[in-house]
Amino acid sequence: MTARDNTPRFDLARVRDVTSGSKRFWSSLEELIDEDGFRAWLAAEFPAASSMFDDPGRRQFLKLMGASLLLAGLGGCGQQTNADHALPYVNQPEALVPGVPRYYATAVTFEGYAQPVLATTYDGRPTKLDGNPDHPVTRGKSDAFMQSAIFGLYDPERSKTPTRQGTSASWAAVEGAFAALRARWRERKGEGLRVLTGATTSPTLIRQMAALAREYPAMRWHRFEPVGHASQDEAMTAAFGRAVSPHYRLDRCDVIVSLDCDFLGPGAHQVSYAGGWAQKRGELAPAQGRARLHVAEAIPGLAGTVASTRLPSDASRLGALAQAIGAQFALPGWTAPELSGAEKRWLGRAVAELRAHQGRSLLLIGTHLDPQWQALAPLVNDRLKNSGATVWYSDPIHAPADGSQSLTALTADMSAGAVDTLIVLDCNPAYSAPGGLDFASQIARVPNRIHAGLHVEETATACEWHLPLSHALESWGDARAVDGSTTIMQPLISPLYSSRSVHQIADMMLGTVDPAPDTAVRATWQQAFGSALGDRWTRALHDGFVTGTTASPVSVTARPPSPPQAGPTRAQGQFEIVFRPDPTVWDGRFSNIAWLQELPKPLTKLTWDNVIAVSPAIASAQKLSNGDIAEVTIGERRARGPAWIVPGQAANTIALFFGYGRRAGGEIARESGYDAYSVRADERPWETRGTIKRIDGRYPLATTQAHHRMEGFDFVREVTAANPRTPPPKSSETFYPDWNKSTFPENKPEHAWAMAIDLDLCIGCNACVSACNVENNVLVVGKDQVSRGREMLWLRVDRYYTGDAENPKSFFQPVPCMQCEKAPCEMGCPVHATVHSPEGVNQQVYNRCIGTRTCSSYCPYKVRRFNWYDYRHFSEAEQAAKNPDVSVRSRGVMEKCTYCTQRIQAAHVQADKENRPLKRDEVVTACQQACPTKAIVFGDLRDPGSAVSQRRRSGRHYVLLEELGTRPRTTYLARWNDGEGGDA
Amino acid sequence: MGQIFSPAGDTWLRLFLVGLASLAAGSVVFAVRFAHSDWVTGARLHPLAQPVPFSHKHHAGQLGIDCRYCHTSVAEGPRAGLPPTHTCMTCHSQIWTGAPMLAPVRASLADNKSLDWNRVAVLPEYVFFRHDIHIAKGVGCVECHGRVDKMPLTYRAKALTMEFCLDCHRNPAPHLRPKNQITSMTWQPTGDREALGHALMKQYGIRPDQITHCYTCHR
Repeated sequence: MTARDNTPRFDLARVRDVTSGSKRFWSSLEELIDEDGFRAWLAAEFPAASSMFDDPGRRQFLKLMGASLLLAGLGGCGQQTNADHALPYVNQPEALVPGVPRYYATAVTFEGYAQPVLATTYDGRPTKLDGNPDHPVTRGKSDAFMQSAIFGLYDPERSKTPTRQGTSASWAAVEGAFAALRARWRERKGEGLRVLTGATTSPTLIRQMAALAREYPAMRWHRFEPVGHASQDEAMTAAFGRAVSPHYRLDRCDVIVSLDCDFLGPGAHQVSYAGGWAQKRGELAPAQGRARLHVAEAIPGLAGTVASTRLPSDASRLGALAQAIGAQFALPGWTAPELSGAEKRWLGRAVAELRAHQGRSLLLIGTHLDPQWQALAPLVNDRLKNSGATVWYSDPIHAPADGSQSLTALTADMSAGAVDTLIVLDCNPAYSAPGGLDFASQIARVPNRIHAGLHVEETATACEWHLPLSHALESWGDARAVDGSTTIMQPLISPLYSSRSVHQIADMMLGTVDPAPDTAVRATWQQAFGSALGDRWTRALHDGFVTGTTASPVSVTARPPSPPQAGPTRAQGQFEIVFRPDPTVWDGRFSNIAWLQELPKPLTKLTWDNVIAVSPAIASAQKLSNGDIAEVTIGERRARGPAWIVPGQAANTIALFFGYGRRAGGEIARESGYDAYSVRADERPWETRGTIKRIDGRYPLATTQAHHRMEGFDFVREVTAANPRTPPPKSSETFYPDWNKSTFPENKPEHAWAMAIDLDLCIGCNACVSACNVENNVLVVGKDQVSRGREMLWLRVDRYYTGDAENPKSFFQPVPCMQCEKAPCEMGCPVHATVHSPEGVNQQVYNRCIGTRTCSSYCPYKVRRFNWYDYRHFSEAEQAAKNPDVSVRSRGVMEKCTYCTQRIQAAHVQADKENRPLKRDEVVTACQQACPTKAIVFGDLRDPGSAVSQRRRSGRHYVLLEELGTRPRTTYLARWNDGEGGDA
Repeated sequence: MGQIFSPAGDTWLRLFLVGLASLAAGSVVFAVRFAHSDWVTGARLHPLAQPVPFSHKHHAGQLGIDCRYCHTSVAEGPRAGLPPTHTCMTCHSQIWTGAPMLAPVRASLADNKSLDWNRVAVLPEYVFFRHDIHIAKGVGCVECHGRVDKMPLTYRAKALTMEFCLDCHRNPAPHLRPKNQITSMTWQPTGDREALGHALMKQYGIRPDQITHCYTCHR
């Protein structure tokens, strides 16, 4: 079934003429333009029974009704499983207790950086990853990429055996091929031997490459990362004369000014920076001079949504702003450019606050901007005495690469015929190289081509050999986290397929026959640990990092940057085009993970596709509406994709997102979107100039922004320094029965579970949603089902706007089940499949549910999800990813957030076994555990000292849809408004 | 017009109505009884075929091996655990080493391949039962598994229905015992079992009102 085009047809070109009422909240442009029309469309498009057939005639309808009457009840018939066999171990591992989870510290990698995790394993199967609580970077917190790494491991489309020209081969044959190649390399002293990897921090890989270079001196090791830090490295080298890695202490910043630096956005630093920012933000009230954030950005990012003041600014204007800052700090040759009124206002305020908080402020300049602008930040931070306080520098965490080690140099050599052997390790340049390089056709000139990767991806199909790589959770390895501390990665499961790790393959290149999985890593640490190897090795594996490996500050002084050069000018009719990684599949490395595909992107709430994001102004001028096919022309190159109007995007900016338009790498990866790399240039890879035009035709997009809408008002609230309290609770008149009196008359339950979500700290990063999905076996339904409003996410993050479309203020609101004390859903269920527990959790009993969906229509918060089909089509590998403590729901039952009841029960059992009461805040839900900003807290209302009770006493506390009198257990804290609308 | 019904017609009608009513009542009784029958619950039926005709009567009853010697994780985790082949071989590498009956066990060890047992006590997959908490709260093995020490071949002794579980969750007192008697098949309370049960409930901190809600077992 293909997805339907159900993007509403509204005249979005009118969007610029519409101004909203000052405090009105809107969730999509259609709603802003034509509220009544939008409601009518919604009612028609997402009625409770969204139709399975697009236009059922009367006869077909009657037939279906008859059939469903006849078949009613069959849905409840049980499925046969083979659960009645029991296969004990032959030799049971000593510490293993069947069914009891064990936890191991290790790491998964992202762009070469370690993401330190504590992995949950059941009977030898890793089922969940969370941040390592002992690690200074994650402190137990996680992001969507870390959560979903588990699905990368169990991806059924991973490559399973080595192949030569597409036919499977043995590892012995691979070693034979390497032996033949080695003779060739030796003869030529390595001339023509090239290795290409992604960015890496791995001490073992660096050691192995050094060994290879000793053996074959003329070989060269290239590195390529489609997103990466190349431009930041360039800027730091310009500023300090050497490569360094900057480290920001956001927990010390009273004021942050960001020029297009989305430090809260997805990426290797997200968990660490979001945690630091939130710690400062949560400490003080606005009147006390709390953390303030001023953002100027081209496309809306997560930092922009929580900013005190936000200025949409085209890439060229960001340069002007940087130049103006340079001029304000009297840099030689930096003249003040002309600024508009809004720019002057924003800049005046930002710079004044930076100066007023010397030593406690920070200027950040985004890594997508021209390095000449980025080089300004170190100097300004030096002048503001921020260096050493809010920012410090260390030697580069990742292995630095010079110009001769770039992909550009490699491609030039390939086209000159200077490359004899190319070995591509865990990198996919045939897809992700800038289109301008034409890598895919140059690689054909290389006589010996070997690719190692998790999937048979684009580069694999262009190579003679493809070697399957082991997943990070199956292999020994090492990598450094963003703070420099090194994690020795241990395997949690033996390789599922006939695969080898990067280090094993590097050892094979060096001539080792059938290297053991841990030999290379042990050899590296043998050098570091010396005679203490045994103890320190065990200690490092236990802790999840090697103590004493955290990067230390280097003393560097920023040089005044040379006077800026003017960027390219914009011809008539041209727009500024920026490139960005996709928020959920990044540069394409996650595009075969269905589950990240279905994760709604933070601001657009789109799933399964990338779009050509245009500003409301461009949409007006080009008559583009959401879902119209647009063609972007950059020089000679063209890309076609669906247009999407992004409120708050800078007026002349078009954004293209990577990660889609894949030509290989799995069925899911191939299915969707357009390829933004094809129009990317090698020079100035992040911004360029081009034109856009509308092409006839529509592209069906699945966005969740109009799904599960609530009826009411004041969903999100704001408070200001002058008026720091939400209105007091009204006495709630309700006709719903009081559960705790009528159901449990004599009962005084010891615990009353509740959750409080601080909207001031929520950055909409999706970590909670991802964690919930993994913990609770939430299933993927596919693009077509999402477009019908049937996504299964138990926890959704609503996004609202206020203000006009050109620069709206945005709000995120995570909405799990409210666990109402007076729950409307419980009134509706004819079979008592949803009832209250004594501790106040609204229970959903799958084995009782007959699927009438009455509860869902009674639910004012729209948090219930129905299994329209049997979504359980698992391969054996996918089955292994499931949490064994939670049912996998079948067709025809309703499901919803349970407050992670399996965790509540496990805590109860543990406490009962030890004959003690539950400890304060002992139960932690999956969403709470993941949240990098601690926006979500969960706990016991009966305990006045619990975190959730403390939040409930806050003046910012409010109840969603309080007027309904449902008495929800999940409540919210209003957001502080310390921006221009507020009175701070 | 003549009479259609003979004088006996009334009687037939009454008989028919009585018959109809008893059929309806009978069907209800039959349905309930059927749902509780051994045929449906699988209790007290013939033992299932097993790869090795293992006798609990011999091992647990006559030799007096404690349950936990083989079911090692019964107090630590949700599952009691079936013994790994190595546990069987601790003794059977010394005695009955050539018994044809034990050939599958030796084969399992030699081939490093699990023995494939048929499970006797099976719960539906939406039931999340934990052994450890029941052991911790003084519920003996025999309460659910019956007199295993008298079973030459193991069969399901009790109908493991929701009713069976709830009977105990609602009124645990008569089913509790001191913790040192958990695995005993023959323990009998001296004195009033009800009074002892209530004392144990207090001691173990069991609150029946907290263990009868749905999420106790279903999630």
